[in-house]
Amino acid sequence: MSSAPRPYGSRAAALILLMLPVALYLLVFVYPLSSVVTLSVDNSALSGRFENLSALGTGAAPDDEAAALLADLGGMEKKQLGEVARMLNQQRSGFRSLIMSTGKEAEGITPTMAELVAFDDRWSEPGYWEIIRENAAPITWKHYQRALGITVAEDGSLSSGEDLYLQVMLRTLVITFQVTLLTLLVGYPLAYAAANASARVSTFVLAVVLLSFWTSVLVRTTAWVVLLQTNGLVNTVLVSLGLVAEPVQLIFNRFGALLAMTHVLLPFAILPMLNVMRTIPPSQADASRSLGAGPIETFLRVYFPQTLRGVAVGGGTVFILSLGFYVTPALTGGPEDQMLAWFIADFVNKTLNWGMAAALSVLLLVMVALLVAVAGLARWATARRKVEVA
Amino acid sequence: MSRVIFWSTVTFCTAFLALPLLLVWPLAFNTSSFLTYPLEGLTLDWFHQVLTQPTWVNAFLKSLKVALGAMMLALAIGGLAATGVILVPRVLQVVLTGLFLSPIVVPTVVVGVAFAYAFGRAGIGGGYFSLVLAHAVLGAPLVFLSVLTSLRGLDPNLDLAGASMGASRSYRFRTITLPLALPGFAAGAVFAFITSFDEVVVALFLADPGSTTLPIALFAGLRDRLQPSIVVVAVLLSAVSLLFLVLLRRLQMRVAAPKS
Amino acid sequence: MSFIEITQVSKHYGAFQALHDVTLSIRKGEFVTLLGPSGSGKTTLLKVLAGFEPVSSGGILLDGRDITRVPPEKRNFGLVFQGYALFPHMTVQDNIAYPLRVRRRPRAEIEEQVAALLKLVQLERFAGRKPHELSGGQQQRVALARALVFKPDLLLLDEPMSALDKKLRHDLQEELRAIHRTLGTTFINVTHDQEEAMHMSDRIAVMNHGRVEQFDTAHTLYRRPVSRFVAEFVGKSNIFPGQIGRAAGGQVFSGPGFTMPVPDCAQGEALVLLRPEDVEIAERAPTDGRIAVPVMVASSTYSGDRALYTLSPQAGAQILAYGSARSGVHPDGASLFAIFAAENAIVLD
Repeated sequence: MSSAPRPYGSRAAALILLMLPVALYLLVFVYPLSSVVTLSVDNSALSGRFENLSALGTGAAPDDEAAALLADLGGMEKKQLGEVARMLNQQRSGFRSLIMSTGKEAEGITPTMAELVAFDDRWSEPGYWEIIRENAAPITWKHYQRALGITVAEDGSLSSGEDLYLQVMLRTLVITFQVTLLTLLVGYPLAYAAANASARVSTFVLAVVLLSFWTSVLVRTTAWVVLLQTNGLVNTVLVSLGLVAEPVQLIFNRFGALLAMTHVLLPFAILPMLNVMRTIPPSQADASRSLGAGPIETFLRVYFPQTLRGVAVGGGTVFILSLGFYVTPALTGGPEDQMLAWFIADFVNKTLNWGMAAALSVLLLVMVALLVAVAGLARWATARRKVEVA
Repeated sequence: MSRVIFWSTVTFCTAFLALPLLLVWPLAFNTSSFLTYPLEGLTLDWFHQVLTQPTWVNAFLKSLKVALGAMMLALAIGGLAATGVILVPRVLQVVLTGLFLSPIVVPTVVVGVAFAYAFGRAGIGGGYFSLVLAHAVLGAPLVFLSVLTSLRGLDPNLDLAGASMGASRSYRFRTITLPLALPGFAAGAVFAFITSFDEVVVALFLADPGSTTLPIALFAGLRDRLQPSIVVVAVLLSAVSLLFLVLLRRLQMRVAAPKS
Repeated sequence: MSFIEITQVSKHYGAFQALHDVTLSIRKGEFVTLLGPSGSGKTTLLKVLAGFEPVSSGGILLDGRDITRVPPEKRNFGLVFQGYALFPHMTVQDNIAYPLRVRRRPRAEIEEQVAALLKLVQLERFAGRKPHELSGGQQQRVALARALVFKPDLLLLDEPMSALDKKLRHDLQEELRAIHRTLGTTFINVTHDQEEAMHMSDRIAVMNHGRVEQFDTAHTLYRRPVSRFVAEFVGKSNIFPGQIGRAAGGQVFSGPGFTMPVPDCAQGEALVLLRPEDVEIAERAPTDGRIAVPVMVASSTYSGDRALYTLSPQAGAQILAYGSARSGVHPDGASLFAIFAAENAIVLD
């Protein structure tokens, strides 16, 4: 009788218990996350400054547009004007001086297109107007366009433009694949030893793994920074062994980043594999040997296939963690080894471009969500297969 | 032959995992300020330096305060969530478990951006309270998971036995369920504490200069210049982790004992 | 008037019906056992009685009061679980005191009652131990004491002996029987072990496929089973298929290799039951009118005082028979006669 009776009268209790955590999660986690999504398309900081222009809508007469623009620019205080100029300049250089000069004189210019062009002939270029019009709308895709390297031409057609962030995403994926592969390669023998070796060896290996797991990422990264520095232990050994004539650059490049990331993420690969390996009875291997299979064949045909679930869970965990990794690559990688997370932090900390940070965050989130969905699907499929077999 | 390959592989992999930490810790006791071998001599000067320098001490105290606050809040949220979730129908259980675990999956950088933006707009700003709130959200899934596991491990007949003897639902919860799930709560608390104590990414986004935690200070120090004090802090942090690892082992032993 | 009246109780789990119109009437102070193979519905009936599973239809009366929808904590029934369900974090004493603390009895009364129950189950020395420090038999006694300490109207036992070894099981059966006599509480026990049921119970309800096949004393179940299922489940049996027809002088049953007179009953196909102890074996056919079937010994199991023979007749299924083993056991392959009297045969419907 597996129909475990649900405790009676539990509905009310469940409701009372769950009210606070659900409310807090929605308020403190789900809401901030969803605000990142809106932030990535939000343009109210700019469009709010162009009230007249956005009220005009599309397809207005040039003179009306010129008048609206002058009214908007004239209405801004100096500080606001500087902000608008800075934000527009992010999309096209030269915008800063154009906005600042026009803004200062806005009240003195007759509100027609001809007078505006006469004041500064850059206003005759449609490119500037395109950007202004785009930013008068409250919703913008400009961050995603920039992140995905898409340029919108004047006629509205799309083409690929500067693909810096596409390259960053590709780099993130490549590094993530490399790290996942390395952790699995190094982790599998360790998990195997912890699960199958003699009590003394397995206890020792497990202790090392747990110690590593519980030591913070930052501390373990610190260890690598210390070891790999120009005058660090590794270089000292290499030089004294005569393998290299003078210290080599081991850190702030891809090598250092991969090494440190692999080390830091290793426990996350080992523990799931170990959990699966522990459930495989050693008598299976004995049975296979007694039936005439050699040790290697036994491993490949009996043991390894059963551990694949652990490999998948461990690899998946490392993959997800690595995709959003910040601390270790920031401290051990060079400028060419920085991943998506670093650029997100950079946009927030250095250029205060929250829109770009949000757009890149959403893209990172989508990558993670896709992976989680695939993992969920795989679990569902294996569970179904088991049901069908039963 | 295959044994030689196996053992050399295991030795190499274990060394890769263990050596970096084991090699760096002694450098904190080195007389020389160059962080390399051979050691010139042993000294506790660097420890003395760190423990008397207000920047490090304040950062440590700040971390401790944040971690304690985050732990309490995470314990409340995660504990309530877990005890509630096992009472609801299966479909709702899956949905709510997904919700309660989601902070584990979302990259910390994204969490950092989200909190920094949302807290900034809500006027909470950067500081102690926002750090506690953010770290509690990161710790709550771990408490949830730990408590849920221990609740699921309980023999459902214990609750039925209590009912057959006339105990009401709340009396049973107080006298049977809660005491038996206590190790799960304790383990969850340890997880939540250490998560907050070691957390750096979200803290980097949220902390104002007045609320620099130890990991932030260490991160800044690493970017600035390598010096013995950094290694000393790393050693101290490792010691804290080790302490909690031992504590957790003890707790797991206590859970396992009654079953034997 | 009966103490517990179960009327037409049915229980469905989706499309599966675990109980079919179960009707039982149990007297106050009776020791009743629900006996059946796994999946027969006996545990479901127990859960329904305890209040853990709501009935799909039907009702339960306790002393004339309808308790069908009363929640378990309000029923005042003691329950001994299969795995005992002792609280692992409490001592033996605290486990037994639990139902009294729930009822907010005064401290002095609790101490007195717990001490009395510890004495009853002979565990005075273990009062301070935790359950995992006790043996299986001791745990079972704690469970029993805990379920009895609050003087329940009814004690339900869910396969209480299943986790114990055979010797211990026997001792505890005796003890349980003695406790039942001392307290006079109504006991309902669930088991799949027919020996246990026959040792302890005043009456046994044999269950199969969610129905009560027969509810009666052990003796009646054994000597007058109402169905083939009861005949085969309770004790060892020989069942002969055959035909009942009319012949000179009355009705006769024609079985495989023999015919014998039977009392008046419906004609046609029928089954006849013979218990192994009613079958004698001899080297010569008797002349006293009993029926003798020539057989060969297929195998035998010796148990000291007697031997159980499996005998192969020329036609039909093998026959079980007990034979005296005082002067040795007939070897396999020996040719003998299986002998039985017509009046010991029971015609099943």
